[in-house]
Amino acid sequence: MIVKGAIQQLTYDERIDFGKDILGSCWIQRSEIGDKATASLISVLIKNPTRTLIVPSGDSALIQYLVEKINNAKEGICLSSFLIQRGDLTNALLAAAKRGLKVVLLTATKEDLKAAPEELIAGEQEKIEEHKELLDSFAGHVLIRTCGGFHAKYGIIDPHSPAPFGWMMTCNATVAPMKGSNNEIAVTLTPDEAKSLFAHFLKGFWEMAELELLAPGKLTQVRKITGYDPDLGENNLPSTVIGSNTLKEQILSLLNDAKKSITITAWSFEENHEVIRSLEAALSRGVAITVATRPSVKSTKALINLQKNGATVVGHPRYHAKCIIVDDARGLVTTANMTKDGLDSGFEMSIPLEKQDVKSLREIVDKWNVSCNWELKAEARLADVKGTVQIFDEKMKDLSKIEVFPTKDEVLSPFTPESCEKIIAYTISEDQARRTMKKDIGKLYQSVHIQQKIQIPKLPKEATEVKDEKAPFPIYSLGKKAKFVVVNTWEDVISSKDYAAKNGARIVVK
Amino acid sequence: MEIILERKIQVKGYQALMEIGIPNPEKQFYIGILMLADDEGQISFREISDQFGLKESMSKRILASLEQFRLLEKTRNNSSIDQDDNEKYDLTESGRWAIENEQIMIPQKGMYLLYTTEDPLFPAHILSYEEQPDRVSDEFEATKERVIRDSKNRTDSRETTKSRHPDWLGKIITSLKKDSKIFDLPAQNNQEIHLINIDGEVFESPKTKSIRVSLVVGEELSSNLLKVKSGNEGTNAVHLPFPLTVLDVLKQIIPEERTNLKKTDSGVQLRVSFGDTDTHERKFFARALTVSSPTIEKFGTFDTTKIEHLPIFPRTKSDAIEWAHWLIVEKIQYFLTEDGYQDLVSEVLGHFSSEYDETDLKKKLPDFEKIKQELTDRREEFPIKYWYVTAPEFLTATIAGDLS
Repeated sequence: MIVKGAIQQLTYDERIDFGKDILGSCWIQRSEIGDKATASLISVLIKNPTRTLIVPSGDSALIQYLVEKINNAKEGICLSSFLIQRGDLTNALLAAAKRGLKVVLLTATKEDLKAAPEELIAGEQEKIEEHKELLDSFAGHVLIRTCGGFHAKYGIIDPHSPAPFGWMMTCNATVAPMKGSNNEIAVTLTPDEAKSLFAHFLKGFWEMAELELLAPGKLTQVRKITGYDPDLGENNLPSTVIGSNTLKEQILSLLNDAKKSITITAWSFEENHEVIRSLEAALSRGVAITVATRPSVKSTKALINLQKNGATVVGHPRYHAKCIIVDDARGLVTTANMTKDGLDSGFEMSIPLEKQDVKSLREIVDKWNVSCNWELKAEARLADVKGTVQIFDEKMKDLSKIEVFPTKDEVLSPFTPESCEKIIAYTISEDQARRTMKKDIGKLYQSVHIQQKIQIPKLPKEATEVKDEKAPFPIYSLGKKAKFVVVNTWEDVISSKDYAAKNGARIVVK
Repeated sequence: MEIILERKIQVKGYQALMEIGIPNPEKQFYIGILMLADDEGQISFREISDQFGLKESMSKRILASLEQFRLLEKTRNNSSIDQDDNEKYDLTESGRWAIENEQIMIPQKGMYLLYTTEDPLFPAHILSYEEQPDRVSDEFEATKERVIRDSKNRTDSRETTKSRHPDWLGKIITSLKKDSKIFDLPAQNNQEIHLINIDGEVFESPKTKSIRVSLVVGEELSSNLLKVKSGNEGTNAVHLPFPLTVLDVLKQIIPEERTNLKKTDSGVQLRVSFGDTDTHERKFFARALTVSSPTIEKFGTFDTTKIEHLPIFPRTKSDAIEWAHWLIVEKIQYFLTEDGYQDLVSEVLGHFSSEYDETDLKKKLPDFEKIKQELTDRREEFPIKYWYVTAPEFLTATIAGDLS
């Protein structure tokens, strides 16, 4: 402490800056939006020459669009969805069955859903029991087969008609996502694409399904039909299905061919997957990469190096859509996440996009990305953070959410030294200041402002003066126990230090 | 198939001094002597000595024993003495029985109790016997004296002269004076006794037995069987000359179905109309029915009986067609193609081919297209069967016909 002149009451006052502290890999907040859904209440419906792209929202436009298609169906509807929830869409399916149409569903069982919690968004976990009840109510009217891998989300209406209708969406057939609770997109298909989709569906039904629900509550093993070899058609769409993963090949091809830019979005990414390696390779050859996902330990692990090497990685807790845009010329919307479950094996579908559809997708994804409230930083400093930060720790199951404040005011209990020279030497260390921060769990401070009263040591009343004409400063004693040198100014404190030390005395004031 | 008819039978015990032949395995060697008598027609000690190398005295003693056992009797005609003035002996019925059954019955005199019945299932009446201990014979004597005293005190002449045993027993007693009789004892493990003599008065005993019988009637007379269960003992099966087959019995116990009961190569069948059958009957071609107090002429009434698996068959061709159609729908239990359907139809028609031409029936049954339409129309009733016949065609890339 720097002190001068007459000794008076003192307060220690210091601000210690922690802004340079490295937080490590973390997601820093980009704006004040918080965790609310990014979508507005109005759906986006883009009608291009080839297809329609729909971004669902609270006005239920996607649901109503599909319900109208189902209501006009003449032959039958085939639907695949990992999770399905009762609502207008399922009511339309049941009505179609009751008016004599064939309705077939590929989905997961309650046990499959419970075994794959990472595939479900917030709120969907609670819908598992409802899913089972819905399937039981469908049994008989709707032909249902299940498999843990039935992750694709799409439908085909009137598959044998000259112009079948097909659609694929990135969300499950559950109400909230289909009403825009997440970043999701649905695309309609051309008739040829719909036929490919049907071929994919047939493969799933006849060759991948494990169980079938023929009566409520009665899941039974699927059996082979003797002497029956169905024509499974031809699937030209990049997909994942038993014996084929053209989807992964298509994604890798897109990434490996990229020259200028890649934008890739998914609910989750997997560390060391070929997709990540392709992105890293693209980065190293100068391709600008933007990744958008839901902040999670799994995705952070996968993307941290990419960000370190220059990729922009943004996040939103409800970023569920899976899209790729390469060089603003080619694109893909898929039901698969960038993980081995889905790309290396499973049951997934994708629709390659070009030209106008890519442009439309670009507009949509850009809007999503702008409203992403998180950004991944491989090595963020505390000073860079405002608000909340999500810190990545490999050993933890979840990201740790920490609130960051500009400063913390801390008043320590008074410093009561025995001798004045200790005041001059007194300082509060950074470690001490850091310890005060650690008391507040879930909080970090960019600086800590510490105040502490300093008690000036005084001469005890009982002390008596020791007469010594040679003494440079008055000296007192308390019997044989203690000696005291009395001073008035800080300069005297410094001057009397040696003398006091020689005499074993404490430096005090009267 | 078989029918089992059961009832408890009325049993009465009759006690008297009797001589009864009981099997004695230790005397088996006498069989040889009897066989010699049978071969020779008549026998004297000389034949025995010659055949078996025995002394004259031994041979004579053997003959005396066998006469005592009622297995041989002195020849009654003029050739009863041989050329050497030796007695000749003939085989008795009991002796003949002994050879056939390879058992020597040794007569024993004593107080015996015969358990008998007048149930028509037991024409021989005698069910089992019990030897009575001496104490019982004292009681018997006391009872006998009391009965005689009571009869002397009665004023009604008919009372004093009333028979103490039934007529059939009286006839047996009379016939025993000429020759002994062998009885099989159905309530005593089919043991045989040789009833030689019933002496003196016969009195009804207060002792009785609880005996239940099960009459098992088969498709053939030779398979009819009577099972007798006496008290807590095990069940004894008796082959009974019951003169009726399953078909005969059914016609009596369910007379309303007389004209519908038929015998076929595969056995007895009840012909039914399809409309009178239930789901289980249609599937298994059998009916379970309960007949209350079934009665068979000359054999009386039995306990209420349940016939579990009475084979049934369609009465008419129309019934067969309806039944086959029903079975076809019933047997659609998984996804089915045209080929699978044809196999199913053939399997169903096999049930009726014993009487109805398969080709003829098949013409009246729906083809695969018609069954698909039927199950589509009945989708509410059979939601899963609807899928079984339509899914294979729907869930394929190519489909026959124009869908536009």
